Amino acid sequence: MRVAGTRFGEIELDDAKTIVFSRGLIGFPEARRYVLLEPRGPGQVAWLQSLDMPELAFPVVNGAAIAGSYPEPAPAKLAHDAGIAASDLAVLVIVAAAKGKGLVANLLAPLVVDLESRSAAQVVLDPAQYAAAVPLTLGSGPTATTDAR
Amino acid sequence: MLILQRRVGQRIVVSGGIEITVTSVSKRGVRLAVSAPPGVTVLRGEVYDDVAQANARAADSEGAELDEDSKALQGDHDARSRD
Repeated sequence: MRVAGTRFGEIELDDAKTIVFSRGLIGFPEARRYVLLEPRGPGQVAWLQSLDMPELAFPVVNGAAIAGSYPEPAPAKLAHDAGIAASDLAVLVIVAAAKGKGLVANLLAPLVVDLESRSAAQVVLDPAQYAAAVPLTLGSGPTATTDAR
Repeated sequence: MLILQRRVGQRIVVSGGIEITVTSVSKRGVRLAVSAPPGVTVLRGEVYDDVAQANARAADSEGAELDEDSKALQGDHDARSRD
């Protein structure tokens, strides 16, 4: 499959790489099929590129890079509540960047992805515990650190 | 839009296994109990709006922290267990 995103141009990918958010992301209910574009180098920011809306892509980091026991509750519970399979779960955290302002992570509403069935959902955690724009510093090593509270 | 009058203890049933019960009413507000099956998201409106805005900001991201060089990107390995 040839993926034509407006941010990256065309990228050739295996059809089986499609990830389906059956309810879309919050605020983007029509865009349901995505692919994850990962950095080849040491970068930690991957991109979730929409297949339905070529202009739509979300920068994401691996939830395992978030300091502390993130997320709470655990991914298996989140997957169950979201109605998706829990065979091989990954948690992705959407980040946002504005020029000169650095990165903020949306710890409130991570993406839970089952890599086996390729089904996924955006879940919303406890707003008393997590915020939607937490400053994030990406370290040079494999673990980024952030204050989850 | 459907507008209903309900008393404490009365329910509204929405298809898809969703039920909303009025549990108490006071000057401070109305307490509602919402039950819904797995896969149905129930959120306070302001939390939904907060997440929708965060998603929109992320989709509009630009900055040096983000590597947008397509040559630097590849499909996910999907192979933590399959390589």
